[in-house]
Amino acid sequence: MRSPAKKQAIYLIIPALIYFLIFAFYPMVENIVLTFQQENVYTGALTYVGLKNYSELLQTPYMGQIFENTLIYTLFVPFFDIILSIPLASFMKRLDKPYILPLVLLSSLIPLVTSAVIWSFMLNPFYGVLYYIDKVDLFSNPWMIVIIDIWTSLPLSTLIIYSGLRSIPTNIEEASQMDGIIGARKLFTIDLPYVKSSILSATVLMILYGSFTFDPIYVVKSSAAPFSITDLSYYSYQLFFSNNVGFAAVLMTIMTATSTVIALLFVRLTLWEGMKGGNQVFKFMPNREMPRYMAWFFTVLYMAFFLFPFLWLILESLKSNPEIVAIPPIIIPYLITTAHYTFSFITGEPYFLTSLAVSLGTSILVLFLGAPAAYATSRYRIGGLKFIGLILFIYSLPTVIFMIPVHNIVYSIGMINSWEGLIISYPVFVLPLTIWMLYNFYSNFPKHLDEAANMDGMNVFKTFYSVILRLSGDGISVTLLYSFILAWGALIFPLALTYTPFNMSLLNPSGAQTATIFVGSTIGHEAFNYGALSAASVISIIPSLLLIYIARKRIEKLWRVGGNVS
Amino acid sequence: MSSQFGLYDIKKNYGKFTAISVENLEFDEDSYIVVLGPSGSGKTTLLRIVSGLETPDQGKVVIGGEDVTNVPSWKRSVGLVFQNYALYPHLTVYQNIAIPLTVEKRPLNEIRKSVDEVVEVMQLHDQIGKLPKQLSGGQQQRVALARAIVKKPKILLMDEPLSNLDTRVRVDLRGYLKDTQRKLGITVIHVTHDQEEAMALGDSVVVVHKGEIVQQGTPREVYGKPRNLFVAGFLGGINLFRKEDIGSLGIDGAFDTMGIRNEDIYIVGKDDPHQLSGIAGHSQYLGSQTLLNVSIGDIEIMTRISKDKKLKHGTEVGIILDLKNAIFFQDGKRVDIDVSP
Repeated sequence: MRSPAKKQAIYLIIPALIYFLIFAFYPMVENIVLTFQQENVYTGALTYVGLKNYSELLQTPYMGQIFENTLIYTLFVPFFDIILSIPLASFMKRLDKPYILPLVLLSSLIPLVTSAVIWSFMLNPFYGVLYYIDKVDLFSNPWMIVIIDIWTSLPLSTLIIYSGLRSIPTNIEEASQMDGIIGARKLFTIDLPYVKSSILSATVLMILYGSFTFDPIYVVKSSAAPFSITDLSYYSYQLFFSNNVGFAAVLMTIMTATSTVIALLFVRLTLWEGMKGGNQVFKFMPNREMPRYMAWFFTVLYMAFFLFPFLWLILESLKSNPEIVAIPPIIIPYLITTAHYTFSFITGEPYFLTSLAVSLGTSILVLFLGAPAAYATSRYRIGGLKFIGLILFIYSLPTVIFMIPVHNIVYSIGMINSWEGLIISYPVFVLPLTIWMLYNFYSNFPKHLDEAANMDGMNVFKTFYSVILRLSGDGISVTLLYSFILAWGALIFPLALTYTPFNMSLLNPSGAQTATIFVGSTIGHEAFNYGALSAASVISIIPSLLLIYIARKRIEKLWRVGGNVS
Repeated sequence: MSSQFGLYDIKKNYGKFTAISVENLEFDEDSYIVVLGPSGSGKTTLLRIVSGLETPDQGKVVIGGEDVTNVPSWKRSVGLVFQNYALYPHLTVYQNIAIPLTVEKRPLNEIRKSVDEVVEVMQLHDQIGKLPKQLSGGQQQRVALARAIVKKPKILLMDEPLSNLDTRVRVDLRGYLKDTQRKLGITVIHVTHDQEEAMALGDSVVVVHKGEIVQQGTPREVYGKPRNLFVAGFLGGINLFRKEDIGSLGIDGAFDTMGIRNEDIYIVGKDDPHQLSGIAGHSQYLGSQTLLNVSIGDIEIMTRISKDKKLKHGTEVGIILDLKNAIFFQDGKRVDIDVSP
């Protein structure tokens, strides 16, 4: 029997569920339908063509190269991420300094487009830091994309493993001290088995991350040889823009299928309860604690990798034009100028304004949809783990697969190239994480408050809106900011749904190209204005800095992916 | 150095708060020592200092005649049983017990022999292949104990080892712990907040209050001759009379308060010979006995009466005090007073 409270709580979850039906599940089905169709270039009409689109897989000459690139991203990004994040996470735990985590996370919280721009400055063979190290041309080469991917995703895998390590109970730590298991041997005998599930879910998440790389390719492609860095997700986007919708849908369906398999694994691991026995003591490992200065030394090396690119970007943005193109590159500018910032602000205003408005609108919308759903699942077990599993599944799908159907939906309701169009479609990739974060938040929320409210005669809705929501400031503020950051960094949807910048008229608005498009293609690559590009990139980082500052103490708890769900 | 085991001039502060300060505390070899105190009294800190999990700000820790103050935990020859056992959840019972030996890279057959020995003592034969979560609380407790003694430490430390168990299991395990200590012939330091447990187990009881050791002695000593009012009250029900309340009894001496334990007060009919008279208050029937409140003027006392006896609320009663067991205090400290007539 369901209690009346539970019956009422179902309604809290319905808005989110309907949204996912329209914007996530319908697109997956429509993609499959599209694979059997072809678009008439002149009329836009769709006709049935059978398996013709599938046969293109075999006929397209670059397909091998594209699959190879996809494979490189899919294998090497998670490989390096995990290898590098385990030591970093254990150094962070050993040093136990609260300011390390926010600094590590920064590179994962800025728009991906910006990260790609930063690394194209760093790795420019003539004007970048690379000039001093090795004069290789990474631009024509998928390893550049791998580096960018690692720079942006390593913080996430580190965070997942770090929170796993931090959740080892104090008494287990002390027991191992009593038993004389320390240093590297403790890491292998106690710590790693304990956080096995975190490591596995980090691995799967990083596989997904690498396999659907899009933004860095978009930014770097103009300097690279054709197809030298293109992967499946970027190629399907190109096909969509050259009106080959059917073949694009074939690739998207392939991606949906593979990511479903991987995502199911991810869901299983994240909601996985425990660990099994059968581990041994790693006797061959040194049983000595690494000296603190060594831990510091390595942490500083990691920090240099994470933070030096920011320094380079800021220096770049202050250089005068001749200094920017000087060979050998000038490190510290002596003709400091703020002209690039002025220029970026003036030309970038419509783009930044759009991003600001759309991100704000999106975060409010996802909060409205997500908070009740998260509360109902965590408190009343509505949908139970199945609903949360579904959320994690959608979260792990590549955004690009929603592009065509969402474009068609937004087009059919006349919202193409408008703020509203972006705001209603962004939640596809923002909402899952919002729900997941708030689900974790509400799982640790004192239950007696709801019970007291129920005893006082409030129904579920009244309890939620007048008691729970008012006390959720902590969780909601961080989640709101994080949603804002995700929306702020979005690239694929704005590319598909907009084609002009905002016309700066609030009475008769049109146009909605975002700051990511401005940074990713408009200024730097079309005008070769590196100064303005770097200044615009710096501006695009500001919301992330704000998030990190405000949420520095709480982010670890809310970003919990992997490990036990209690 | 007079003793094999001791703490000398130890102090541990957390900020301005003094967690524990010990001038001089020595333990006899092969005895069962119970450290007793209310929560927050510093008793666990004391234990952690002996174990090496906590380093004192000053002072010296001696184990087996050696100064181990700066020796890490695992080289101290101490075993520790944690309050919630802290078994490694991913290792089997066998692996859990063997781990302190495997770490030392001892030969495999030697490890097996030592583990088999403790498994025998702890009666865990049927459990060695299981994971901790497959065991009951009492079994987990025994595994934790086995892990702590497998290295044959000179001191076994136990932090509230019985507090996570059901009442019935707890009483069983009490006897078991004492037996084990006798069998192994090691020194045990057992920390608890339960005075009954302390008296039942301890060869010696150390009472800790507000970060200081108030008294050390046999259970009989601390119960019968508590050093101050706190110890008197913490170890069992006691009724306090001001000197002026008992003027009629004609006791002379320099004291301001007299304490009488619940069991040293007898209730008789109001017409029988008695020392004081009072009015029966509410009673608590506990099965094996009944606790009765009695008011004597403005003071309220509690006493035990036979479980069969029923006294109506408000009945006038006579009271007899067993004065040879009375405890006298002056300014909160116990003083000796001769009560022989």
